[in-house]
Amino acid sequence: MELLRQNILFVLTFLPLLGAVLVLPQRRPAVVRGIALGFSIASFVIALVLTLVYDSGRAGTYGYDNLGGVVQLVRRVPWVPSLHAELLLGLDGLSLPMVLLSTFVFVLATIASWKIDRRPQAYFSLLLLLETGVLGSFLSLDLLLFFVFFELSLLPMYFLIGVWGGERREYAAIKFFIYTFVGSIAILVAIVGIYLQAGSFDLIALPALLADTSAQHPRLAMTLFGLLVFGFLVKLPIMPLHTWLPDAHVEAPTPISMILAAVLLKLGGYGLLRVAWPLFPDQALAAWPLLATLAVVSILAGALCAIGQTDFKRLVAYSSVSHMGFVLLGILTTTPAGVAGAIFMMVAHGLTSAAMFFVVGVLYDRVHHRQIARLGGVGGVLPAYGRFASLFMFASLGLPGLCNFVGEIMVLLGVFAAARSGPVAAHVPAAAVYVVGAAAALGIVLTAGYMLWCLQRVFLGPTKADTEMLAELDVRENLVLWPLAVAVVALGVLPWALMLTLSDTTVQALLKVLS
Amino acid sequence: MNGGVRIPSAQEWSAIGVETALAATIVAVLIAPFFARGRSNTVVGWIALIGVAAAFVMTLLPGASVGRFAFSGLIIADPAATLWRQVLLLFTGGVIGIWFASTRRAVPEGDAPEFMTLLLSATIGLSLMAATSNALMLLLATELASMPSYVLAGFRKRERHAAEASLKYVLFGAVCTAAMIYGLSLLYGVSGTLDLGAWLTRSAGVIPPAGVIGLLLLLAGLLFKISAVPAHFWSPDVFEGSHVDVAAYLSVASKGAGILLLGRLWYAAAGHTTAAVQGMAVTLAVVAVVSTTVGNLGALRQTSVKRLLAYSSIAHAGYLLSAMAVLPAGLGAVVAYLVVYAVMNLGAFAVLAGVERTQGSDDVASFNGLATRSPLAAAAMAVCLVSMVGLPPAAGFIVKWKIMAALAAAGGAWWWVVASVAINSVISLAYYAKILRAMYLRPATESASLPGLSTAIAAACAVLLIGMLVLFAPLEAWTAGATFWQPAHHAP
Repeated sequence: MELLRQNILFVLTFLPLLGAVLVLPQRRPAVVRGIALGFSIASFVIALVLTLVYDSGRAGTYGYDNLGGVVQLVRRVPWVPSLHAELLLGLDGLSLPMVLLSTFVFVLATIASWKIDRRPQAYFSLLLLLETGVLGSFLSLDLLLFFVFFELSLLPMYFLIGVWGGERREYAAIKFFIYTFVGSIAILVAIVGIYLQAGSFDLIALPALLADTSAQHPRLAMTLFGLLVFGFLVKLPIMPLHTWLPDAHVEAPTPISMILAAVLLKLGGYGLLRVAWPLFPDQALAAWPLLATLAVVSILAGALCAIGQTDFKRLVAYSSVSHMGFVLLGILTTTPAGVAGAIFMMVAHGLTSAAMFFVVGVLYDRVHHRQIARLGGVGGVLPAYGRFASLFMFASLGLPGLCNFVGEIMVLLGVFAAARSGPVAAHVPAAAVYVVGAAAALGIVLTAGYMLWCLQRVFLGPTKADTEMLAELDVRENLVLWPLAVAVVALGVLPWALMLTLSDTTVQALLKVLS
Repeated sequence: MNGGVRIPSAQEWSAIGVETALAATIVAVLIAPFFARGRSNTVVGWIALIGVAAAFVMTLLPGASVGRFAFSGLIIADPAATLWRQVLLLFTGGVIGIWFASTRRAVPEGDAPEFMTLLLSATIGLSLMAATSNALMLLLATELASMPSYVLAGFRKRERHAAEASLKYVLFGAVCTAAMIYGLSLLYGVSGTLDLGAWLTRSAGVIPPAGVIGLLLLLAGLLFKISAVPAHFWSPDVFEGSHVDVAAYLSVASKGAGILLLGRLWYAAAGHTTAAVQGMAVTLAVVAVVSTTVGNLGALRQTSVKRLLAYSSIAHAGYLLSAMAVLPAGLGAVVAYLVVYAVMNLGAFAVLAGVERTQGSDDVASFNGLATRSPLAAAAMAVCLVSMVGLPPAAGFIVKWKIMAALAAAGGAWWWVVASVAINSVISLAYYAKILRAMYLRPATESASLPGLSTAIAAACAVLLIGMLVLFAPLEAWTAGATFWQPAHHAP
């Protein structure tokens, strides 16, 4: 039992990989799906067990638990001795919400993939491989290992979009691949520089090791920070680095869109919080005006682009860009409310975006197009489906009582708190911070605008030729929609008990490093 | 050494054990057809394979890499030479495997002895190139490697492509060799010794202008073997015109031997801060950056996978040379990269050989739908390509990392070379992904699966590539031990 406890993070990370290997030789599609679902559920169960095992009440420093820190269940195995690179996994309040979200969404995506009949072995194998890459990225505390897992999530995604995607899948897949790879290479160069400065890859020890660098070589530190941020902003994505996202989403099959939006984008936000900010807090402050501008531009321009879309899925994709702006803004505040809000926003967006993409997918399965202009009155034809869709759209636009509201309001509170005290207030004029906050708040209004308008055009009003006869939701679709609906409401009603309590101590510890 | 015939000692024999074994194999290969009429191609292939294995055993004998001179300083036995021989022989074994999978059936019965003789002779030359710093010996070794290669390039006798390739190769080779000989003569005039390594060590970086010109001319000759800019023009045509196994062989064996010979000479001088040495380092860096860029940009437009891999090999020469420029610190990175490069290229060419045999073409389009025809071969090819890009989960990632780390450690302007490696990695993704796309995203045009042997070789390479990333420590220990032997005292 103790052995299992020690290695539980390795088990969680590599369990999907085992599943990926096991599904390959299977001949019957039913068996393939069964194995894939079994392994994704098992991973989710382990993630739930982690929630029980992780002691979120124990306050401490941003360090390992044997030294009074918040990072727990740490396990290290030598990997590349000459570089002091290790297979180092650990869990804290930053990674736990991401792990819960990822494993949850992967279960739903597996269910959503039930009708994939083209080479299901390869599909589910890649899906599980992707899960290993994602979980490994969230759990690695060794920078080099983090990068390996981060990249590992790239290739399966390329194939999942490129083989099982829509008409322009080849274009979308290679665009996704090249964009993200450019970002990755920037991160890789930064890792080389960080290693040369610090002589270590230990993400928890690096902030202390790099403290001298930022004082003695400010230009180098700024370059390294810039490379890291560039890489993670491509992944997040933030305007103007976002153009791969709408194409990738539109061409990806529904379950892959769910994972892309719900999980892979979070790698960017997580990377900012885990790597870029703690390692270079001073540089982050110095770059505040630029980054805050980008965040606000993303929020507003993303929302404006969403308003202009005629394709339902593209609209949801642009809403992701807009929402991710809030995540960046929350991180930028460097206040307890803002950072916790950014983490919460990532989870909340993970749930609502997965739900929205599934909602789009359900409709596409029935009418075989996504043109908003040719849709209408769906809510009257399919009342149950209409209720789900409305719920998720309201959640997405930030209705109080549903999950996104909590994230957005915390980020905004964080922004206004940052204007008064904390490291940001010391660097940036309060007026500028207030302007940023006001602009972001305007974004929420715009979000409400395009979401409600879309709701009105697609679900209300008279039916059109395409939407007169539609099949009711089947069991499989209900199995995806119900858990998401429950989660969206539960997180909106009980944000503290369900999520914020997990990240609270870590956010406190992290903020000590950042200021 | 009092004149007359001197019998080499046992120690000296052990320093050329590999070459002796290969020479004996050549004799066996030439005699064998008299005893195996009708099946001589297969028999000869097996004899060559056994001979290569025997030569590999020679590298394992104690005393093969202790670090000493043999034959009056003509041959150096040291860990770097031994490691290169091991890599070269394993790779040659793999190339013979590809030959079994492809060319054996393509050449007329009775051609195998000539083919194997040429291949093994070239191997002797390439093996010796890494084991000498003597001007005469290095010239002989280089020529021994080049001459058979010219013929190998034109081995498809009835094809115009092959004749053109061979002729281009010879003409280019002749020019580069001439430059090299002229350079060597200048160096002899400046130094008064044939032992270039000792002279470079002794000169402590102070090299007169004539010596610098000599070194640059020598470099030109070596860049030809490495297929780096500006001596790279031959390689796309030669790769396209020759059998796939010959292309595979030239892409790694010729490049590796050139790299190690250059490394051995440069290692003796590198690290000094004189103007001549710094200038050479900058020259190497420029050659490296231009090679990488030219190779990658050239590869973008190719539709023939052979030509694509030729340009890719020019780019990889650039990566190797960029770490070479920061010797002595970059040596570990160079050697590790070379080992991984050999594995990933062997795997890629093995799949290419299979595709070419079933489709009769080496077009990117002939890879269409390989994932459905031969899932294992496609997966192996994917791992090799991913490794060439420098992405996890393959060992190409970590060795590219080592090169970037070695360059960044040099600091200052070397960061621009790091940037060049990084940007070029992105460019290279675009053309390697063309093959990935063909294999996985395009429908198959026919259903024939690849020959089992080429799939097996590629799969072994893929497993090795992933294994070398997961268990990098043994690889690193092995390659880090491959140092050049520096004699403590050189008589002035």
